[in-house]
Amino acid sequence: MNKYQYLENLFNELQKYQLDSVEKHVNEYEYIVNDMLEAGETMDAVIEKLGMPSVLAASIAEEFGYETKDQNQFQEPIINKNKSYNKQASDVVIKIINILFIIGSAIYFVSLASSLLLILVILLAFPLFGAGTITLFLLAFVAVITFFISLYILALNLKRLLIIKLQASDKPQPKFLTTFIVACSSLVLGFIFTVIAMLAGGTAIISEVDLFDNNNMMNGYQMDMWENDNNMMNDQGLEQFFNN
Amino acid sequence: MNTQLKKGTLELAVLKYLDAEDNYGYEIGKLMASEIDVKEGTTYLILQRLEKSGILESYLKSEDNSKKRKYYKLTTDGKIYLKDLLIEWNKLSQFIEQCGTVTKENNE
Repeated sequence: MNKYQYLENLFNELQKYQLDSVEKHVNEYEYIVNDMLEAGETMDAVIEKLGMPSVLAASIAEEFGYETKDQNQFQEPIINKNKSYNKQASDVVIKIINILFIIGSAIYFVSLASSLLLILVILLAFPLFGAGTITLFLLAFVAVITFFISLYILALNLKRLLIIKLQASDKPQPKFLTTFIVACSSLVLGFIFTVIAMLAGGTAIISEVDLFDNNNMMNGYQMDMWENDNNMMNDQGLEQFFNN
Repeated sequence: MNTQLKKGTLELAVLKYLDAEDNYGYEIGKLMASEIDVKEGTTYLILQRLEKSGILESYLKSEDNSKKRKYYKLTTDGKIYLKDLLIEWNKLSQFIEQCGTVTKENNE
């Protein structure tokens, strides 16, 4: 066992007790272990002097009067009976949330992948449209996809928040505030990218209509001329046909 | 040395030692292990407990090779606590001395 494994095991062992700060104790022993190793002692000698992580954790708990989490549950049977029912119920809910989230994620990513096909179609249609229009279309799609990704992050963090609320306190949990901030940020990002998508998509459609108008459609004067030419062509042609 | 006696005197020994000079855990532990024949781990636990209760305070000190060590020193409360402990210790040792004399006088 090396120093890092020893300290990691100590951290894990200390987590079995109700401590105010596990890190503080581990940091304390990191200094001590460092000093011992620097003094030329082997890791085996360190373990011999301090004891195995489980033994050391038990000594720390005894010295400071920390209770194990299980002991605490034993001392409060009535409260913990309710807690355990709640815990069982919340575990089931968490499992259901997780399954739903996995199914939702799978469907979501399949639809996201199919939207990538649309981008491919736009790229393939490049010769049919102008470069500017294509760029705007692509920008719109990228923004839409980014929006969906931020939605996914939002969903992921909302799920985490829900689990934090439901989960029993003896499990390591992500920090509520951090998760909340990430969820809010992804929501804001999603909103920004939606606006970009709408603007880019809208501009692309408008410019496409303009291009169609300018390139393919005839104005009123051109239309009149075309009709006149046709009529003239038809009349003259018919006269010539009949004369001949 | 008797284990129970060691337990009782180790805290006093650590405080007395730190009253003379600030030092870091490993050095204190090593000294206690050699003088009182106590496990080094026990000394570290006492140091942590005394720090938590405000009798000791710690600070980081850079050594020559820029490595930081955690040094312990007595707080003002710690000095008062040590003074009280020493008074109690003196009373106790006087009592133990007297115990032998009283028994001898009674027998005579």
